[in-house]
Amino acid sequence: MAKRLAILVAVENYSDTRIPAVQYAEADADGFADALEVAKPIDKVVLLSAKATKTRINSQVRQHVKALTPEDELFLFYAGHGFSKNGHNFITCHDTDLDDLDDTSINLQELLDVCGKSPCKRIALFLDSCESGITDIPEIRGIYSTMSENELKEFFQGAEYRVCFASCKTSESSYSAPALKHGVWTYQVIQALEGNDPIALEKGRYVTANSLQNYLAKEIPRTLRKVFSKPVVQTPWFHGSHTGDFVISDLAELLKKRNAVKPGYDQVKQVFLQLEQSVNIASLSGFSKQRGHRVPDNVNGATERFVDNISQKEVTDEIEQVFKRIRDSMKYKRRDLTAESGRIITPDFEFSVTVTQDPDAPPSAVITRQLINISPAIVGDDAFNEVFDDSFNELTFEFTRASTSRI
Amino acid sequence: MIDQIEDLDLDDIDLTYPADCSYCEIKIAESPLKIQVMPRSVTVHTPRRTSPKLLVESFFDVQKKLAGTHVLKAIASTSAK
Repeated sequence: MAKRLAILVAVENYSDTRIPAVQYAEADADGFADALEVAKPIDKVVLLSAKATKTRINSQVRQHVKALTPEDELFLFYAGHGFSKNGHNFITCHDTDLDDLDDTSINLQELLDVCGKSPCKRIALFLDSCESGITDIPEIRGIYSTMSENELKEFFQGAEYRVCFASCKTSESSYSAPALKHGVWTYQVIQALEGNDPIALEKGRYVTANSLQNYLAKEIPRTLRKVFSKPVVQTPWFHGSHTGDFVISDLAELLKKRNAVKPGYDQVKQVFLQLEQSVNIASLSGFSKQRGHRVPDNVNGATERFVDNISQKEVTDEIEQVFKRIRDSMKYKRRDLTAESGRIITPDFEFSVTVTQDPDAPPSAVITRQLINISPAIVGDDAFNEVFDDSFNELTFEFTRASTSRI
Repeated sequence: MIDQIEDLDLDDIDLTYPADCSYCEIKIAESPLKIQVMPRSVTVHTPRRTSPKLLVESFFDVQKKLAGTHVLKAIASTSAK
């Protein structure tokens, strides 16, 4: 049976204290592994900080990659500092020594060679690194400055499905954000792999190399704008062979399960029908200039009580009219009906009328007619619909919980 | 939800929302109905007053129009979280 293997390397802290920590690198590796596992189980080799020494990374990669078969899939993830020197690209290790940088780091080409020689046909590399923090060393440039297609030629040559994703381009930094608790790029990769954003998917179910890169190219700038107050640039980088066909994750099962949960409706707190009508306060029955009434130009407790007082007749008259219509058309007994304080309660529904001052337009009042606690069986009843013919223009589903303050 | 619907790039769906994204209104081309999604509720508005039965049918009409699109899923998932 084909195996899926993820080798996850994250160097958050360095033994050489002169090398700055890479914020959230370990969380990135963990999150990436979990996100891959959402689609299908995966074998994991995890090397975090102190365990991510040069010897151990080289040894683990060599051992595991060698054991793969052509049917297997390999995902290699790295988060940490990277750099390029004299035309060679390097990733740093926990024991990287700033005084002997290239000899204590791993030449990316060597890592690619090991993967390239593997019989495994499906290999995806994810590199979330940049030279940030070690750029002041002479001759050191951004890790991808010379990572041209030629350099990767051997890796991609003859390869059936090999892709390499990187978090940023030449001279750019790969940003992390406390708000996300991840590197921005890895965070978006995780969002895509977990199926949290439909636009990252092809045919509504596949995360392919192309769909992922298109998603990253679109979302990274948006996320950067959201999490940083100053403009920053980070351009996701990608190279691959037969990329259109490279399905990184098939989320069909996961999405089927998610959609199987009938969202929303089982959490409906109540359904109500409503009509709101705006009227001038001066037009309410109880308003009298002779009694010194004035149309309010602001909203406060006193003006609200005033509107309540002068609208009693509207409420009482309407309740009386609707009560009569219900009595005439529906076969309720007296004991089934309660009419009080601006509402009528029946065994199948509750009707209410309220008049309140409009908070957005102080000289106006809003007359609200509402039908709540409606039994489903009554909705199709002819007599019920006759009573409330042309009565409402809104149907609202109210939920038990607010999802968020923003939609 | 707004992001999800906008990313669908559907010509027949018109979205309106304030800067703070506290609510969102959805209009479907060739439909007189308007859907307002708030953090705690979803409301279907008809341009004219009608009976309870026709109002409920209008809601199912909207549901039918949006069935199979990600718009309905986005609305539903917003109210389910």
